Amino acid sequence: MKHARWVALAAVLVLGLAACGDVQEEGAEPTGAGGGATDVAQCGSEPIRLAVNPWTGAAVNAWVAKTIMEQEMGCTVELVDMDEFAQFPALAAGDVDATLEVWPSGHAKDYKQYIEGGKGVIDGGELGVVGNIGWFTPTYVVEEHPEVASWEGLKGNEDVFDNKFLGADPTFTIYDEEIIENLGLDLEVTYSGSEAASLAALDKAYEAREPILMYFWSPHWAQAKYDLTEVQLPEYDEQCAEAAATKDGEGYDCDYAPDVLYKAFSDQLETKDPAAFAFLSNMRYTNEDQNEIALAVDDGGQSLEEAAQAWVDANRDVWEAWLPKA
Amino acid sequence: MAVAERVAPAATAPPPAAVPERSPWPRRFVWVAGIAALLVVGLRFAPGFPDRFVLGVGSVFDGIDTWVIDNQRTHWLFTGLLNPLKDAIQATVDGLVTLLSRMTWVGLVTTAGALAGLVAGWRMGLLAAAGVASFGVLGVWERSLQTFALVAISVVISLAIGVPLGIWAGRRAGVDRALRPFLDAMQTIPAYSYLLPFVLFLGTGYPPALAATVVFALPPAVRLTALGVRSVPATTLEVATSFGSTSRQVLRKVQLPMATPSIMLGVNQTIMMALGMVVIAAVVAAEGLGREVLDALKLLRVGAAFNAGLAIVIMAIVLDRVTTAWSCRERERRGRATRIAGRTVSRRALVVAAVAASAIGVLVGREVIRQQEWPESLTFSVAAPVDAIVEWSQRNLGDAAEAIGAALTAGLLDPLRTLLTREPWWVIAALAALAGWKVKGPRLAVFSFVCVFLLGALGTWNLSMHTLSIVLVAVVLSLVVAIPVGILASRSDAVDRAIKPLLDAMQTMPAFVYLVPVLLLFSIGTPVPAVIASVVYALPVGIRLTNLGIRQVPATIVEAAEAYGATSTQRLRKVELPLARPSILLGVNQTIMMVLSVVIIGGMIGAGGLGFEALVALSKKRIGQGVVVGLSILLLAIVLDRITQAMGSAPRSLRGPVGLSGMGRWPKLRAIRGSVSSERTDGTNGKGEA
Amino acid sequence: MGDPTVSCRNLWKVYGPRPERVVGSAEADLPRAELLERTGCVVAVRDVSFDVAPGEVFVVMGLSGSGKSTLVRMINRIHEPTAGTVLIDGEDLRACDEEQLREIRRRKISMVFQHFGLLPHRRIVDNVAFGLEIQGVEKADRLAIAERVLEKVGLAGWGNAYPEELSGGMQQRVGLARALANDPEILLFDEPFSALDPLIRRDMQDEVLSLQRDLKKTMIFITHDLAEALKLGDRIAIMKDGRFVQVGTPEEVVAHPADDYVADFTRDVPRAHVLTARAIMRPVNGEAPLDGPTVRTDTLVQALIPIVADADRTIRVVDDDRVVGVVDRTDVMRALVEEA
Repeated sequence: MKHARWVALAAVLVLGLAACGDVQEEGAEPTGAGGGATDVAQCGSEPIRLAVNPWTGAAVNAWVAKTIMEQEMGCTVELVDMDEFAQFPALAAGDVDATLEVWPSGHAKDYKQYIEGGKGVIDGGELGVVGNIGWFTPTYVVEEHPEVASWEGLKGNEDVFDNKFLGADPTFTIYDEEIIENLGLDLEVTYSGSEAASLAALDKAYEAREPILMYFWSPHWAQAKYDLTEVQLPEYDEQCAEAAATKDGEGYDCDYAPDVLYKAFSDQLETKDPAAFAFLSNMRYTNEDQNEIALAVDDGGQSLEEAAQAWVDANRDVWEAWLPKA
Repeated sequence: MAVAERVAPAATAPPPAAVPERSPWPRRFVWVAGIAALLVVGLRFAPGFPDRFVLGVGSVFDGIDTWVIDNQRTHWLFTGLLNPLKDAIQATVDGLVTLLSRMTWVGLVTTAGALAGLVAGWRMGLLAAAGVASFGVLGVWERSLQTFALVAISVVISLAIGVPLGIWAGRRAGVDRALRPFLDAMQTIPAYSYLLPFVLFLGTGYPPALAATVVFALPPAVRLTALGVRSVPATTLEVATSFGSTSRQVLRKVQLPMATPSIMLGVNQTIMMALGMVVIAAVVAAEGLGREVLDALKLLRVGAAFNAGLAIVIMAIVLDRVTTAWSCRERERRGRATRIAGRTVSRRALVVAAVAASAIGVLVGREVIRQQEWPESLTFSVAAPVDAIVEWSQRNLGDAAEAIGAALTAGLLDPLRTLLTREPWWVIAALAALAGWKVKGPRLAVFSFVCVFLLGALGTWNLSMHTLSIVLVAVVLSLVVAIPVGILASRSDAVDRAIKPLLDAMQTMPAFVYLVPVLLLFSIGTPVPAVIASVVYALPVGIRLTNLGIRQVPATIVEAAEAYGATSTQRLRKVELPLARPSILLGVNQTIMMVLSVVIIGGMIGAGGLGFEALVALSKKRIGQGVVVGLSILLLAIVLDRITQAMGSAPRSLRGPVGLSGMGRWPKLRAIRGSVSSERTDGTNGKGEA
Repeated sequence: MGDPTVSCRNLWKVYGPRPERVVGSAEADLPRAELLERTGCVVAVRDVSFDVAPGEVFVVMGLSGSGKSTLVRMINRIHEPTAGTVLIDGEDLRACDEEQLREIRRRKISMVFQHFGLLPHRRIVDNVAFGLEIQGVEKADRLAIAERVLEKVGLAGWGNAYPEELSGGMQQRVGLARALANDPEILLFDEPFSALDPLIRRDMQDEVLSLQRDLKKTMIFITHDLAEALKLGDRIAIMKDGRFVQVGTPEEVVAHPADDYVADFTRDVPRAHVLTARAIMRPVNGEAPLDGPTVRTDTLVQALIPIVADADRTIRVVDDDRVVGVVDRTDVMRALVEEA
């Protein structure tokens, strides 16, 4: 293996050449030279890292924030894709700085441990979007079988849906099996595995006008595309809140909690970059705003970047208030 | 085939005076009737596993997350050890990515070509250059660099740990025995079970991804190094000792050099395993090609998933071919000068040429073309055409697929699952014990029984039975296709050649990529997509080992059969299949392991069972549940592995280091073959000395 | 002849659990199967003692399983004796620590192996230089020595080849060269030629004999081939079930087999090729006249035949000009007839 020495030398040489810094590509714009008003606070040099969960709404928030922060505040924003389960540990460890759409119903335990316990994560305030998880069925089903519009009517008539309930991504917030068991419904839960698979199943059923009962939520652009009715479940109460927060869902027997989506930040963000911290704290928009962009992406075939830019260009009045003053 | 098995012993039966050969059917009938009776009787008892025997294994681990959350800012374990480690890993991978991208695409293509050409010959050089270029063409340049960097550093760390451990295990049988169960577990327990602790301790991004990759990629490095060291003939060691070598000299001058081919195979396998974890890496938010696959899976973008998957396949094929060619050439050349166009060229000249080519490439890339990233105009994503194909199939095959899926569910999956969950646990345990007894003896019977009991004791009985039912159905389907195709391939070189690259690609493509199209075609929310995906994934190994087994039947025996006037079918049934039995049974074993691994991933797409539970444990941050599910999968795998392994009876040597390691990916059959031959050499030499 | 170079006393090798208890016990004399049944042990070598003088070729002959390979491996302690002593030049091998033992293996004893035991990943010259390399001899020096030794065994110019490129006979020449390169005092041969075909085997035996003439090494040679033993050995030990059943010169073994086992072995030996005048001569008891031709005591019967055929008088057998016995036609005839 005498030549190993030579190969190593070669590698060092070549890498040495490469180590001289980034190539200045012709026509490449240097980032951070944003043109915004001079009274807007500017970001520091360190990149701001935003967690992006694997659903469209989460990506929309992140792209809106990235677009504005880079163009108006000279920030460098990196988007880090991660599953929901990883985001609180990531925030606490400082791997990411913020996540913009936490569904409280799924993170009661995390909220308790990390935010209330003061373990590296802080509540970043409401996003303004209100989520609603629930059981949905196409309206044509309810028209034919009005009784299934509530759980009481559904009980005993589960065969309308062939005794099947379609769950979504198992990593989402789910208590379907508990609800079914505790309400004594005769339904078998199967899981599509992802938002997109659920949508595919919905699309298939819708086209064939077949009955389907599924876990779904709003805000979601599909709510506009398909006419869906929510099945009424027992009202959300204290006991269910307790079951979700401390007992891993044991005994859960009511509707999903109305989800006032919130933002969560690493507790180091404020010192790391006060301007970014202020902006992200201020960021707040509505279901309609988010839906508009999501629809353009998922149904209109635009890229996230394009859709976010289009919304930013058209809605200055909404986001101008988010910008921190210098 | 079942009948054919019986033929071999009959041929060597005692003289005709002995009891006349009875048809095997009555005996077989007794077995079938006995098992049926057991099942029927079982249905009269309480189903499943009694709660009072369930141990609360999981709860032991449940405090860990709280402890970590409470202490990660203060405890020395984090401040003094894990955090610096984590930062170092992150910085190293990031640094390598930066370095690679600064070499520019022109520089990287030339450097890859020059280096591969230097170590493995000009053909490999071209292959490597083309491979690197294809990352750009597919439009996944940056992602590929990230994946390559993560894989490279994972492999280096795996080898840095694995090779010394392997040497140790190779020299001390006790160490080897002690390590074996851990290595089995590392490759069998799905990553989902331990990702959560990794995330808690190491955060997100490259560090936990690297840790998970090392866990999975380490075993082949250890096993194959140990095998190589162990395979050095005893005489050779005596030679070294008789000349007065110290233990270190024996290692350095004899054992290591002679184990080099095996260690190189270990390197190759470690790389393949590491590439198999690319998608898992994305689950913990590491950048790279896996991210594309995972996102595409979530968003059902088949084309995008396939595009990224193709890049992974290309990376795997390039690395595999180059490392293999490297080790082969190393052996052939042995330091002799290379001849190019009839002229002898010294090693040094070649190195200088390669370095010069790389340097020029980098310089041109940086100073002339001035482009780090692959130019957008030169990309061609296969996403659109693949999407078109999928859409077409959905339109035209959708109904057929739906019908197949429905039939599969109603005809096989549901009845089997119902049966397995309705039976009391002891019936299943008894069946496992019976199988163990029949194929090996009382020890395996007891072992199987205990494992099945533990499965219940872990509290995952119904989930395990659910998973088992899917695995059984998928294995049967897989073998029903694989064995005939394997026979066909053994009969026709043309077929063999035609399916070879296809099989390569099928085995290297991350199983996640299959999940997407099958999900679109088959009924969502049932185990069918997972069954189909696992069948596709496991087919190659079944086909290959059947083909290999038949092709390895000695020509003289086939000639003998022909000399006695056997027809082609007789030859196959009475000679080739019985003799190929060990190889085919190894194929069965490997098929089961691979199917199991995909069925577990299938939890993501509605297969349910243990895989789903592992995912839930991960997403709800239940460490204990994750551990329990991981152990359950391990137990299930061990029982299935040991029983099918013993079915192949005598040739334990045939298995080499495969066994449970098949749980991962064995993209190259050569690996299996390689270890087979080396272990055999070992055996003969051992005997020669005794 | 001086003190023996190798001296073994009461060597035992027992395999199995707690082997020491079998040594010298009554159980050791049990049949193999019974001993295994009772103790789980197998006796490979039992109570073997012998001396090998400087420059002597001592051959141990036995069938497979007789313990001969184990015996030779105890002489350089690759196998640890269960009991007994091994003295090399008077030094107790079993008392040596690792370091001393290595030193003896490096300088004093070299071994030639049955299946050659060449290192496939090394060139021929590096194989030959292996022992020197282990000792830490400089590369240039050891390669020069290796080339020289290669020349001596008739492989000049093959240094850069790899073992697999050589025929079996050539490979064993390399094995021989490797053993010689250390210039050891003692050479151990473990059935070195058994894997070679007969013609090549004969060449190799001649090679060993000629080396022996030149170099006067002390050799312990293991074989299962009696002809080889008779051809090479100054003395032969016949081994069976781990013990020596007879030790003697080739002639003694052939002429006076110690038991049926040895007799069985030696029956087919062409006696004329082995027996000497000493073995068949009668003492001089006054026969006259003692004026026939003289032969030396070590003259082979084969060579006597033409002499007795030509001479009509009794032939005198002389040792250092002293007549020690006589041989006539009848004696020769009788010796030859016994062969049948």
